[in-house]
Amino acid sequence: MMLLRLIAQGVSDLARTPLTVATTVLSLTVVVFLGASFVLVLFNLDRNLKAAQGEVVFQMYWRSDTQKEIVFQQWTTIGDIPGVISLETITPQEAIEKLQKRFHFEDNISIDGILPYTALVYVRIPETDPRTWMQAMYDRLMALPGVEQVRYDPLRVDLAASWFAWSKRLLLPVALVLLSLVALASGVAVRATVAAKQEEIEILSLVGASPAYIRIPLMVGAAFQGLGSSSLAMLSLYGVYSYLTPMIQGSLLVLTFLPESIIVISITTVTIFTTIGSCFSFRNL
Amino acid sequence: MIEVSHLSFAFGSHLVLQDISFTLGQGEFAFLSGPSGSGKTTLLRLLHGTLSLTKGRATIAGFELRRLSRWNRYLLRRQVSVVFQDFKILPRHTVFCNVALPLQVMGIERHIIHKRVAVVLRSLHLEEKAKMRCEELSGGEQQRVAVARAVVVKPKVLLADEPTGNLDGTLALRMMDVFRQFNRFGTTILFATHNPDLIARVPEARTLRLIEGRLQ
Repeated sequence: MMLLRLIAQGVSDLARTPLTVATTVLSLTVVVFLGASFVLVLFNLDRNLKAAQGEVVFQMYWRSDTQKEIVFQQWTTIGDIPGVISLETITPQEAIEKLQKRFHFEDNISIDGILPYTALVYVRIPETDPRTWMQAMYDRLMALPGVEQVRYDPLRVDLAASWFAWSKRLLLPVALVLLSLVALASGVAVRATVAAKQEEIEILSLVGASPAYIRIPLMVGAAFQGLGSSSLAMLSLYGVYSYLTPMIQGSLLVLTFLPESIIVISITTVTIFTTIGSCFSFRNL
Repeated sequence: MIEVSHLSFAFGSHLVLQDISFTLGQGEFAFLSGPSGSGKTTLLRLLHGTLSLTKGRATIAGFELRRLSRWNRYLLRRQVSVVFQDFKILPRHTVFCNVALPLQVMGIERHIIHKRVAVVLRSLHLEEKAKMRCEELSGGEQQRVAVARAVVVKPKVLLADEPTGNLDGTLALRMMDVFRQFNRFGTTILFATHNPDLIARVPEARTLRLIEGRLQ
């Protein structure tokens, strides 16, 4: 009962110093917005680079005596393999037509048994153990009946693997440092609200208020400010994102908003740090 | 009710209190006199737990101060009230809110709070000011609010740190009578002052004279 009363008091206390609370919420919102914007840029940059770097092509050649029904069936199967983005197929007939167009031949050329069925298989390699995954995919494609040869550029795989490694080593710590800075700034920002109540806190302490009686309303108030301002910052960021996306979409970059997990982590971190910050921001007599 | 034994205290290298020992029984009234800077406020702050004891022993209202953790000081302050020279009241809150505060923090039921606050305000002639904000009151009235807040919990010990320092002579003497009245109900009072007129007003009281941090 007492706890509920203290929680309610923490909420109602916010209305007693509206200007201070508004200033704190505004500054917190700006801090979280800036931090989250930077994370959004990093996140999209990483995503776009991974998409560009992590795409590899397998060139497949079937033996020229392979029956066309078997090859067609395999093309359907290959398209369903996890990791395959797209499949570009070329029948011997299509190949000869292209050659004819290219070299302006007008006579019909007999192609029976000369040209093989071929396909270009575009795959997105995973971040975890890309080399092993590529080898497994290579083995799988090679094992298909009638396949004579499968080729890919191992240098592309090495490049992708090293980019993934850099991304893990660099981007995650940068994002974490950024989150920590935002969290610390949040803790400091909420002190302004608590500082406005310093006199009241001292008096409460002098008349025998328990630490919980003093701290719970402050923590509740700070938590509300943290939750409110970080949610407001995320909403503002989403607004900016929605405004900018149509302008950027279609160019080289593909923009995506922050995943739910990052949004939840950001809001939770700010809320926790403002709550903790409120606990350590006054002198307890 | 108060037992102080070989208590010393220093702010950094500056020794403020040296080897203080005295005892006050239940319902006793004692003045703590001495010139400014003699250590009166420091001694009261130590007894109220706003400063931590470093040397010597002190027991007040059954609380051994050396053993009282920071988190449990509030228990001491529910038995030991204090009145300051600068009132330390909430100026934007009403008289009623200020006086009710110590009862509220103890989680006492609202109807009991109303009854007890009304009785105390009546005894200090503040009942008509109950709904006024403290910043609208005179200095003397504000001091009475501070006293009302201190006595509303029926403390075992009342520490007063020059509570009449901001009041004129007549008001100060009238305030002294209020303290005497509460003392008669059994509250032990330790009253810091350097005003001899106030000391003379309570002839039955003991006087502890503090000079340069030592009891004379």
